[in-house]
Amino acid sequence: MSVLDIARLQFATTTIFHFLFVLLTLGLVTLLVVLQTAWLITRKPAYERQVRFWGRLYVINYFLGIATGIVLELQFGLNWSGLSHYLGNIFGAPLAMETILAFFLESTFLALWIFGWGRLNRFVHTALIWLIAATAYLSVFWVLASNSFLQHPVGYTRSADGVLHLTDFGALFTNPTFVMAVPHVVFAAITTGGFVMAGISSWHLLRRTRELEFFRKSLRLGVVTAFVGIVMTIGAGFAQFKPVGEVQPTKLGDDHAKAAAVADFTHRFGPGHYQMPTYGSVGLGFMILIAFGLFFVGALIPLFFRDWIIRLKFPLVLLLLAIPLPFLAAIFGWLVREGGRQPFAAYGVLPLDQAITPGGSTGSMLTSYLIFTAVLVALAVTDWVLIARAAHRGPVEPTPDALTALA
Amino acid sequence: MLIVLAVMFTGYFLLGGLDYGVGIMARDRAEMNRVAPFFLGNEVWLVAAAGLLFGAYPWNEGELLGAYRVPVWFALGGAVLVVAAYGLRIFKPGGALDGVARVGAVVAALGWGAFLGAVWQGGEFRLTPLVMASSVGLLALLCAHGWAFLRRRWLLLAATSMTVVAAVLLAGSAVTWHAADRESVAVIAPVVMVALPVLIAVQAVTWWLFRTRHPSEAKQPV
Repeated sequence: MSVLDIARLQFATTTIFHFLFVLLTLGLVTLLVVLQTAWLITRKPAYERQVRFWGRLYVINYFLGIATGIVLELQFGLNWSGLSHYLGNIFGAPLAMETILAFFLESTFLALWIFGWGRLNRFVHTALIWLIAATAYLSVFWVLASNSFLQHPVGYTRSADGVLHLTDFGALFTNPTFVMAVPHVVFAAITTGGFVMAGISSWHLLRRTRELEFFRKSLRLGVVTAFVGIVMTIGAGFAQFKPVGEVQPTKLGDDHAKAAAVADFTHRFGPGHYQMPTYGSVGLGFMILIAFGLFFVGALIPLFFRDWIIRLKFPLVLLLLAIPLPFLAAIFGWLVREGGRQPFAAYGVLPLDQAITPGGSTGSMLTSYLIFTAVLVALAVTDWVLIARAAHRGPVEPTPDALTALA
Repeated sequence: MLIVLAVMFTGYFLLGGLDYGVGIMARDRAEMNRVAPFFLGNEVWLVAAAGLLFGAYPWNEGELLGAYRVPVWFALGGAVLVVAAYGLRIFKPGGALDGVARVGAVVAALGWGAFLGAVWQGGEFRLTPLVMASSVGLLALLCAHGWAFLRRRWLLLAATSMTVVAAVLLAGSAVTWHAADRESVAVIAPVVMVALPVLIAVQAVTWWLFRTRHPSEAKQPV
């Protein structure tokens, strides 16, 4: 493997692990907004217990996920100095906005929400979870604006030295690869949140929990959320085919457009592999397959009647087994999106070999890849184990020495 | 923009440094609890600083991270351990998590010390006596910083804070800054100018709200 291959593999690995955390964070925070607002309005303690239980899973995932984001951001500087060298004037701006306007604010609000439990006015505390969710969605907006620029560079001029200069910031947000990607990602996260909530509830219901009422309620919320989410995700997904095909012919264009694009790239950048790699097409196929499978979660909604969904048992088994599926589908989705812009860092503008940091040996690259991957795997496994344990314990009172009642 | 960048980096070293100093110097879990409500807000100053560096000084970002990747790895590795351990000990303070926080804090302080020394030194990263001294120096400084906070020695805390600020500014002054295009900075600047005061205000509220000892601390035998 070349240095470039390892750098690509490292970026793919980091992004995949990061996105697993992102999906759950976004999905759960949306459900927390629903639950805490219900608590604010009805004042029923049952909702407070829901917020505390799911909130704990959310917080564990947040703290272990931060690191994956840092490793991701770090890689732009470490392995892909061409991105900052050629695209720095444009690509960095939305990412800077993301860190300051979204992530920084989100974390600041989150600290207040966690420790303000029982110490802040109910309205202020509920407003905080809304702000956390809003800033989390804002992150999606900015990060996808950056990514969409790599998919289809817009709003720039290029000087003789190859450096890009920003001419139209607004163009980043009317980018055809951006517009439908935002709802697609947001609803994919909501779908994930719904399936995780429904799956964990199913686990407890299958084990004949004493918290029947608690998990009956969260099962219903999870199933409905998952169904709404998957319908919207599929809709926003198919809505991307035409606009993306037009600007990225080698990804989703017809055969004629593909051939024309390959001829154009060959003319401009020399001969090379300009077709979407096989893993992209395979990813697309499997993503659609899983999405259609998940769509049938809607068939469980009529079974709410007289709690057939619980009494029949098999729907609970299916929901439990479905937990990994939305995560898998999202990975496949990114394989299409990222695979489809190869062999470019910025589609049709910056080939990968100009984006990678010059120099560097295969040995040191491989070492850094193995170390970072080990860290990512450790974080993900810790996350799953801790979430599984907290989920398994069910809604319990916080330990006396816990620093917040959120437990 | 350079001033805002300086504010963010000194903000991180002051506040994040407090997390590390307290992590190392805390005598028991009750003392470590003192930074619990603040650590997340403290640590994310780094993320904001890195984001602004990438947005407004993309060439410097590539240069600094590329040349000094070794100390940066250590610093970030330590910071990651601290964030994960502080984050999880919210639910169950004490035990192995406090140990992880302590180790992470030492690694982060040494890593950032070496980074600052290397930036001041310039050129390729070499482990010179200067870099080693700076590495151990920052560790000692942050220990004093954390100790002063825990023991409420406000004068000493002011002195350690000033030293931290001076060290960061000194290292930063050795860098030849190369900003992004005026058009690009013009997009980021207004947003940052609005967001930064809001952020500082919200964090100030957090410090004010949780200035008193946490109820759980009172129960601990002294």
